[in-house]
Amino acid sequence: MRATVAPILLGTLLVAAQSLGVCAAESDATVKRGEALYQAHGCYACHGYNGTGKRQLTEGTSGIITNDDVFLIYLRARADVKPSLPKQYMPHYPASSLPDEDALAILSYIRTFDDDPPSIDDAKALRGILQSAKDDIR
Amino acid sequence: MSDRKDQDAGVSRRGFLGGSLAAGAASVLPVTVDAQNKAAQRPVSAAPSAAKMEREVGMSQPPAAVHSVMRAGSDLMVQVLRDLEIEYVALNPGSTFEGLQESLINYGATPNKMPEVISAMHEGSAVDMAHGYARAQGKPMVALVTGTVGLTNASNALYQAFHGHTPLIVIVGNDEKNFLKSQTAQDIAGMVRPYTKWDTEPNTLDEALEAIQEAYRQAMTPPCGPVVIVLNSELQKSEYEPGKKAPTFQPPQIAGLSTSDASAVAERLVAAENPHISVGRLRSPQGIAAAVELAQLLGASVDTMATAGPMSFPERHPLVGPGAEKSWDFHLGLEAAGADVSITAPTLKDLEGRDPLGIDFGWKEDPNLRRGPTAKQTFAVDAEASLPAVIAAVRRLQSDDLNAKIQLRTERNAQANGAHRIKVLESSLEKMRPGWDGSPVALGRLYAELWPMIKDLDWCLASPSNFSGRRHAGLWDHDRPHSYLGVYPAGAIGYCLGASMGAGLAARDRDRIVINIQGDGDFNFLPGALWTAAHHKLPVLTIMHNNRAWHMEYMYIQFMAGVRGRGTDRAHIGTTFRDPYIDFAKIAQGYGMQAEGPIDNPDDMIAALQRGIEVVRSGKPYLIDLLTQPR
Repeated sequence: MRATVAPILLGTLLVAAQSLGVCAAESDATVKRGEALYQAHGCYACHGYNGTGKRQLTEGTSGIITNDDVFLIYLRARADVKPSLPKQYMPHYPASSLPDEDALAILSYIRTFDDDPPSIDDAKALRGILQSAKDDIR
Repeated sequence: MSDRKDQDAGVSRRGFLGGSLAAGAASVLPVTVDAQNKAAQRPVSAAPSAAKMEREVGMSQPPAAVHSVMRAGSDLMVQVLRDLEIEYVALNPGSTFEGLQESLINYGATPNKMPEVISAMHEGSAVDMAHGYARAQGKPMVALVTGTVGLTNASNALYQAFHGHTPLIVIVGNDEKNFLKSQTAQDIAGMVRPYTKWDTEPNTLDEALEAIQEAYRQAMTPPCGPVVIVLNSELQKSEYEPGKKAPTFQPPQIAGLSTSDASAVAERLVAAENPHISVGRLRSPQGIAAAVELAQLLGASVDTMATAGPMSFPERHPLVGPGAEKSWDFHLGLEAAGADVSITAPTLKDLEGRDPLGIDFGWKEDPNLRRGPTAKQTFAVDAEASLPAVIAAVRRLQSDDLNAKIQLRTERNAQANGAHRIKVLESSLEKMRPGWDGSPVALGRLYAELWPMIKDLDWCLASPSNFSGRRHAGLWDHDRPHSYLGVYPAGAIGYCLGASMGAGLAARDRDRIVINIQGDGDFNFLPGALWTAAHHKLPVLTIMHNNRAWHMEYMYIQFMAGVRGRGTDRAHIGTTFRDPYIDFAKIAQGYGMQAEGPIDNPDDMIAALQRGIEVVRSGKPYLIDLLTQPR
């Protein structure tokens, strides 16, 4: 029962928090601190060194970085996850292990991620692969 | 004497020592007075006698009564291996098989190259090489190990080969004279019996020759798997009688469907309006050719496991895909699950008498069996052996009307599959874009840039790709039996480097190159395989997926720390390679291989890949240390 309710509750909170639209004031010092925390906590393990890893964290790719409240709710709302099998899921972060101030510094750093990859047409290798396949099936 | 030996070996003593003298000079410590006194007190050696001097300079002849073995039993063992077309014997030299090793290098035209001795730095590497070779070629090579100590070193790799249903032969030397008592046992093979398919310990030379042949049959007969022969050193050194020859080999008789069952399956295939065939891992290229023939005879749509492992249906065949209509009215599985009929060989799990202690090692699910629908009818026989009878029965049912219908079906399926392929490819290409220009290099960029460079070559991706996101699937064309050799059958890390070199052995004389996208954690188990690659000139391009961690475990620890609310900032302890970082290019260069890196940006990577492929195509290994995104 609890396992069913938790995601629903989390979803509701996320939607509510998104509507608040609260953002942290970002400064260079905060970003720098956030970068150090991002590395120290190994966020790059899933999200990559610049937010382009398996779980992307660049603008428009992840709902959890919409605003500060959403980010904090997401970090704090995963305590129900049962450790039955080894998992590569997002860890749970209570405030005791990652205070709000540190979490928001990490978010400030995440907001500096900028990925603007070329389109398939603009990337020579990708374009070539697609064209080759199209030629092959003709 | 020793100088002459060195010269014979092509290495001068002066040259050999020169390098080490230069390196050692700086570390020479002042000689103490005490040490000088001790040296002065040592007894002076007596001058050699005249007889000793004669022997020393090679002037003396052996006494006439000394018997010289002219017909070595191990020569016949080599002849049997040669008759079986065993190409390679990988070994780390040991004190229990000097008879067989001497025959391997000196039997026939010297140095003997059939089978060729491959120097392995560890018995685990030797078995991993045999594993990679068998996956690429569909047939066994031999790993030769010494006594209890060699077999225990090999045991992890054997365990993995067992779970991979991989045919390979391990020969274990055993010295009954107890040269080293601790390396012998009454039942050496018993150590690995629960995870090998078959073993034997022959008592005579005749039995030994037959045992090698039977080992081959056992390894190659489904359920395929690793087998063990314990060869007593006395048998290797025995002398055979004049005129004795290696026995004639009888190939394995592999059971397939009975004629009546094959006919029944064929009738249902022919009667179906929209048949579909799922193809898993077959045994050999001949089996793949038969599966292609059957699909083409029917115009059936096909799904393949070619992106998941070796010996499956060519991925880019026009019939591969869901077809024009997904409402298949007859679904046949060949070493895979089909909704209506599955033909799947028995598994090693079904063997009896191999696990007297009831250890029951790790059986969960047949790794060869594709997940899918439960078949209404299952035949527990080898699919490859069944195909000729099914094909013959289908041919008997052919008619002009039927052929016209099949022609139309073929065209419709090919057209739909072509559109499906482009749709899947576009989706795959989109997934390659994130982090395209980033540093460290995105794994999607690696796979995307590499593919145009190799697509027109005969290539083999030997490395398990699960840790690099399986990005070749959907992007590369897996059309050959050896296109991709699959994941770790038992998840035993350390296999990748040796297995890739085994694939390199399969590739070396076949104008093929091997791609090894090598995890850094796996690399460090048995890195000596790099020397094997350099020494034997294996065409293997190793690209380090260097994320400086046992990365999956790193994420597991992060998750667990999160569950316990204790923070993830210590998850790197015991899971990462920091302080210091490992310089993989220097390691490879130390083993005599061309290498470069670390490289951390895409432009440098592209140039390095081009250089690497050029070197590998010239018949040498190459390593690129690539700093990558973790996943």
